[in-house]
Amino acid sequence: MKIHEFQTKQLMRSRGLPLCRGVAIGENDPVEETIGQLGSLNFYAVKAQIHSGGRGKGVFTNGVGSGVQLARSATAAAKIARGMLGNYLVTRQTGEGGQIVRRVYVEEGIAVKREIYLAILLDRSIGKLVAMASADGGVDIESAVEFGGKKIFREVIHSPSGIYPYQARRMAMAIGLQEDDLREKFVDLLGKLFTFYWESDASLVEINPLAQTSDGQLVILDGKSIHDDNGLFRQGTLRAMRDCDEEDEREVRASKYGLNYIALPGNIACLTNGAGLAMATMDLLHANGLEPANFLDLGDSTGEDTVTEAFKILCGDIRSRCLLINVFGGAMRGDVVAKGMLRAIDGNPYPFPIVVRMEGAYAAEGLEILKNSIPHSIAVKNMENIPRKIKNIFAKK
Amino acid sequence: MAILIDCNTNVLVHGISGRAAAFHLPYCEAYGTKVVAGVRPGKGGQHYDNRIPIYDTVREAVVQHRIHASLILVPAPCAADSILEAIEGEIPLIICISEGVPTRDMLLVRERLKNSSSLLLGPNCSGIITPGQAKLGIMPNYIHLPGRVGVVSRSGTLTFETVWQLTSRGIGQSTCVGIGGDPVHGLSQLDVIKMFEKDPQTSAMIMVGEIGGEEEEEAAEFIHHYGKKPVAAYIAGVTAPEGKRMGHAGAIIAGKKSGAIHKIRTLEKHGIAVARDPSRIAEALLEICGSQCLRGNH
Repeated sequence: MKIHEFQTKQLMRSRGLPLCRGVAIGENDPVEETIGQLGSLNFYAVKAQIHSGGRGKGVFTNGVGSGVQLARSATAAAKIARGMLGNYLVTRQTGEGGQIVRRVYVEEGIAVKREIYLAILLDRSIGKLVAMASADGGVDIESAVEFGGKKIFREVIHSPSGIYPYQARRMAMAIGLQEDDLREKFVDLLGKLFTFYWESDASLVEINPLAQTSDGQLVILDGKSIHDDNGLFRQGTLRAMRDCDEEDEREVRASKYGLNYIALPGNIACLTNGAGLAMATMDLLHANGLEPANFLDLGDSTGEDTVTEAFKILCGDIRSRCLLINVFGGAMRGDVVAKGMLRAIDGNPYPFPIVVRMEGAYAAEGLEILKNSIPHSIAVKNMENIPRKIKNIFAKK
Repeated sequence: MAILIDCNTNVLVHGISGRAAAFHLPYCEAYGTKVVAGVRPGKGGQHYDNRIPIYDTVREAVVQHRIHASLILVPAPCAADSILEAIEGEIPLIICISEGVPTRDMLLVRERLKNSSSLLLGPNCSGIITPGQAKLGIMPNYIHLPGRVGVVSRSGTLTFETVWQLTSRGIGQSTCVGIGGDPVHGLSQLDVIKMFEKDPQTSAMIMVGEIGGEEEEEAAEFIHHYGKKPVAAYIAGVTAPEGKRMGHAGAIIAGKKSGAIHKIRTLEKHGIAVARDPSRIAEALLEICGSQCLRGNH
């Protein structure tokens, strides 16, 4: 689960990590008054809050500039904030239409001497967490890593004890924080950052940049965190931070029923079980010049309700012109899929062709139910016959 | 035997009185699996189906029985704890089916596994089956056929699909292993491939992978340098959008290297026959080694 920058910072602050003072302003909040809470400052940073990277380089469609701007007065900061709120910000991750900005974060601006990159994340190849740091912060670190331009230093973390002080010291030296005072500040910061990562079931914590100020402080300027969906059951504070406005409405609805649904640009609705088979079905359609309208994994649930809900979500997709059911029953049984579908259809017949491929647990029973109750459903025996059948249907129309 | 399990494997089921066990255990037993005991805290002294003794703890179960494998069918929030308890009980093979185990819990499990004598499959996996002998998992029984092809996969249903393609063509399997779809898990593609390489009953292998991580590449490198048996593969997720979690917690494209195309190219470079079409995974293996060497039981 992604959360906003101001939420990440709120969590970081509660763990004693060094941050600038800031206030979040929603669309209905009084802008001037809220900024006034910061007192009179020399610099203000105004930052659009959306779940998307590249805000600093992003551009608002209404012409108010980028997603991160500096101001020299509270009045100027308020003007920028008003320009951002309720408008669309386009970044490299949002797509052409952009994402509406419902909240901005206004922070004290500080004089920065040097910018550092710092992150904690999972290295899957070794099954351990790693801390990564670079003396060249502030840049697009992903592309820097890809092109091998910047020097990145890594320390492997042995869970759950966390990063040892000697590792943090080694990292501090490597990125040019030699002075005793700064180095120890870094050691303290990295220790706290790991605690934050661990205790909040994070899957990524990234600080880019971490600022070294002219008066010898380390301050987190931009903080980002992503949290493990599987750990949310024990993270009440985080659960309350979920911002469904930032997610696809159908994906939110699906997730409430334990379904994994992702909207795609095509016109063939897919009802599949298991992540692997769901992906393979998408790939099969694509390889044959057909385009799936979605990824859907019925998940580990075994109930009719889940299928009913899944089918309703698929029916709500106005672009789809055909429904493909590809179910290989294991935990999810074929007859349960068929019954769940019938319940969803009840009284509202599905107007488009239905192609069904079922194998595995209770597949014969499932096929029988569909044949009797939805006469226009077309059964295919093997996966390889699916594309031809759909092409035939499209050709006839 | 094939690898990891056979008809003599004694099984301990964690969460034996739960919903998942109620659904899957009858099929496991019908397949010949020897379930000798169960664990369910608070139900010690009772019996599953009036036959199989239930214990409060793994420690009590291992005192009373010789256990070769643990099958974990508990809810995800308690799954890591069950794995840790099985490791402490020195159970040689632990299979965790539960889906949705937090990565943080698995990081702790990985640290504990390192200095233990246990092997772990999963979590979030479909389990393992040695056709004709034993099944510790959630796969449909009828799709399997005893034979000589080893199958290893990160996905449950896609393993069923692969196995069914083999069986439909009269080609049997030695053992089919689901390693699970989570980013931090037990045995890797490479670990299982190495076991198949050593197993005299396995003459060829199919590796089913997907986007995310670098396990398939790691296995391919080994196959290229040390592998003596033919390997076919399939990688799911060519059309997966970047940055989206495709059902499995571990199926996410993060950077160019974890995408399907990069994986496919790497595998092909190492001499593995990669099926581009998921309905022709068995065909890909047949094309490189012919049906003759793949048929027959031994």
